[in-house]
Amino acid sequence: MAHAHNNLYGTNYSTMQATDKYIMFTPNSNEEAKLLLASDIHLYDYDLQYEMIEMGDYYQEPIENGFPTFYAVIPVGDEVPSVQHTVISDLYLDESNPLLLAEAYRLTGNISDISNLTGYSLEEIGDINIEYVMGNNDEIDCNPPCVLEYRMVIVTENGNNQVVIEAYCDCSGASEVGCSPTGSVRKPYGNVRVFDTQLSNASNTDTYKGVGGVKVRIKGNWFKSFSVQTLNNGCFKFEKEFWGRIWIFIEYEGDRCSIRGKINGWNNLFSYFYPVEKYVGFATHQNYSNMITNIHSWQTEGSHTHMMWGGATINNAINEYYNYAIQEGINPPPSNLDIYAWASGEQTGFSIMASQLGAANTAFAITQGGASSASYIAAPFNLVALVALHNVIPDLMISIDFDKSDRLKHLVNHEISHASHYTVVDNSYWMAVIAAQINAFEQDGHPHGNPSSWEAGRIALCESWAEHIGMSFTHKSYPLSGNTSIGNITYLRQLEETWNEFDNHIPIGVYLDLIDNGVEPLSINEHNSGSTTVIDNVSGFSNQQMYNCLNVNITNINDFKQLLINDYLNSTSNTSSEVNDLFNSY
Amino acid sequence: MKKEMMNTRFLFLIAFTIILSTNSCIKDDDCGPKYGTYEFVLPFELSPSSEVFHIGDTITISSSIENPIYERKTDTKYQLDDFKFYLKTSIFDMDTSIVDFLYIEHFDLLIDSSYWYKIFHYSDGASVLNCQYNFENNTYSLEYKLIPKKTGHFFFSQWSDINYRGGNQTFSQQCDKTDVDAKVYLNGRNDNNFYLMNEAKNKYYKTWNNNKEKYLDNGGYCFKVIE
Repeated sequence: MAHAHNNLYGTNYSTMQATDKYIMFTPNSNEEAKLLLASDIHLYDYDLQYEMIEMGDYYQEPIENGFPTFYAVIPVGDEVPSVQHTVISDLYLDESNPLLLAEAYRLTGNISDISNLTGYSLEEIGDINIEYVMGNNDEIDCNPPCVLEYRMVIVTENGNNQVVIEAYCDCSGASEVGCSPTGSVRKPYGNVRVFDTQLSNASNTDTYKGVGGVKVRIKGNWFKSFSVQTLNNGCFKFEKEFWGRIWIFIEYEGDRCSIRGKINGWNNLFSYFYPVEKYVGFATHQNYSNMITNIHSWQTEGSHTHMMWGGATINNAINEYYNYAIQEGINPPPSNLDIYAWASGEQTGFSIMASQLGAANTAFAITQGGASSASYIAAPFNLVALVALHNVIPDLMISIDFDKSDRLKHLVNHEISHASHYTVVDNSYWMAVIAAQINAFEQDGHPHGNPSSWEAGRIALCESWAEHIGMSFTHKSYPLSGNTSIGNITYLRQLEETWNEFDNHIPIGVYLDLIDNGVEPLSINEHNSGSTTVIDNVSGFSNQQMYNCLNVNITNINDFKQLLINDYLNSTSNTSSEVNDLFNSY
Repeated sequence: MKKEMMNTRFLFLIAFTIILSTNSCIKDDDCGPKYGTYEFVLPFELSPSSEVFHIGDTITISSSIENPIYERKTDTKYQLDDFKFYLKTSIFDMDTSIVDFLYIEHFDLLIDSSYWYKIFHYSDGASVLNCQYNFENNTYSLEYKLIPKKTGHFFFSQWSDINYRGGNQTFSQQCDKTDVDAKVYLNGRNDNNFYLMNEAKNKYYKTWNNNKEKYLDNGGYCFKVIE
């Protein structure tokens, strides 16, 4: 690069001052792996010094049950994580001068990279003896919303090729995907969107739904990566200009959550920690406008496509939950949720809130529950003998083995409602929930137990509320019978017909009965054939009022009922007798 | 590995579910249906099969299935003993301005008292018919009649809620970590006047043009009732 600078500007530099360091990380413990991920450094699982013929999602160093080597470029002066590492070299990475880049490419014989910079083919560039001149920019008339931009063009004069930096007026105009253009064709913008099985048309990708709050990362031609977060509608745009070839990635990591998951066939331990990522592809032209990533439905369990679809659907459900929580006046979940997406063959989840509780509290709660082995919780990770469990347990584990978006979102809404509940209690309360459900599983083979289970009241309260919100919020996303995959019925009507989960245990239907006007001659248990006549002469309570009654002192349905009567009965036209009759129906 | 009498549907809606250890059994990836859910086929007949009925006509809905029951993903028949399929009958009144208005009371219901059935009324005034097959002599059977009382365009649907309500039912050949669902094929899963969706006064039903598979999997049948 110094040589190129000297050629162009007549300087006499022997080296250029380093802007970055190229570092190889070799983590050898769970703690180091987590520290590396928490650093927000862009990591590569291949040595950037080697030319990548084709970048893909499936390259992994073959370290069975070990941690792979990672490479990263870190700006000089930035803190390097306390993870075992080696500085491979100092780098000069200033892409702001395309002329300097082109000369450097010429000197190193990388004419194909000049082709990427200019958009001309190698045949068009022809002779490598290229001169560099600045074009005359004075006559360009460029008024807003168009912007003055620069580009490299090949000009042949007297048989010699010249690379000319010329000005032009960029009027790339309105977005083609509903996303705002960046004002420059060299500033990438586009959209990330996912197939919703209930709302999208597979043959029309414009009906796919935007994936908001995920990271779009672009690696430039020279080592460095840059990232932005998508907006709620899935749109993204970069303020930085790129030149030449760029590689684009989507990562499920944002302010609200980070979603990790293990893809089948990836057997190094790091794959359990790493956020789900998709390599979208590369672009070699100067126009980086309207870059659309469509995430399609999956066919093979545990495949990369499965993980991408599941992660995007979970991500969207969480974004929708935030919106609905505001509407209903209840708390969203804690930010930066750590979510593990499990492609398992099962359709299940749990909400341990491990990163919120901390490792010691999580371990204590599990032990208190009487788990004879941690393998039940560790099953999604399949790592019992290799990794300390507390290092891999997420806040939420959510199975993604669904072929319907509404059903996966139903599960997500249920789990997130637990996380929202967690925000109004304390760690001791949640540890008791964990212990109670592990104990129920140990005793009955089901974490929800029965009316006689230890802490059955706590289980009944937490699970019934979560299912009420789970179905209510899923209804908001899929409000019509034509939208759902649960038959020709809406989630709200399904909820309205629901009594307990099991006989005399987990009163799922009571919350909607407190809100609606229904007089219900029949309600059916969720999981067995029991049915009843619910005496429901109650209406007018709100989700916010009920949520406010889920404080740290409320550990069973009776306590919940009494607090609701004490605090909110007067805001309705109901009597305490009517409320008692309703609860007694469950 | 075959199912060990633990239906994962049982766990589906559960928030805090502890996963059965995968170490405890050998998972056979080739066992069972794709996406882990069996989809049994329940054939029903609606007769007479007509586009137009008059007020007072009798419409008969019936089903008789001898075990074993056909499952469409694995293309195999399985023995299901006395399963509860949680059958639902919904009839959308497509001429009202209310979207998704189901109202079974637009029809007189004639059903033998030997069948378990209940009409459920929702808080918004809508209603559906819930019923179950009788299971006798290794055969599932159900029959009821509807007599129209009101003119208009109607969207009849007969479907099963077993996936939500009956998830803890299992059968002997069931694979591990699988779930059970059922689809109703009405009149051999024929078109069943689907085009009448476009004639409804409530234009919402035109959006069902994107949902024809769902219509066919949930016993859809459109018809008109005239004087």
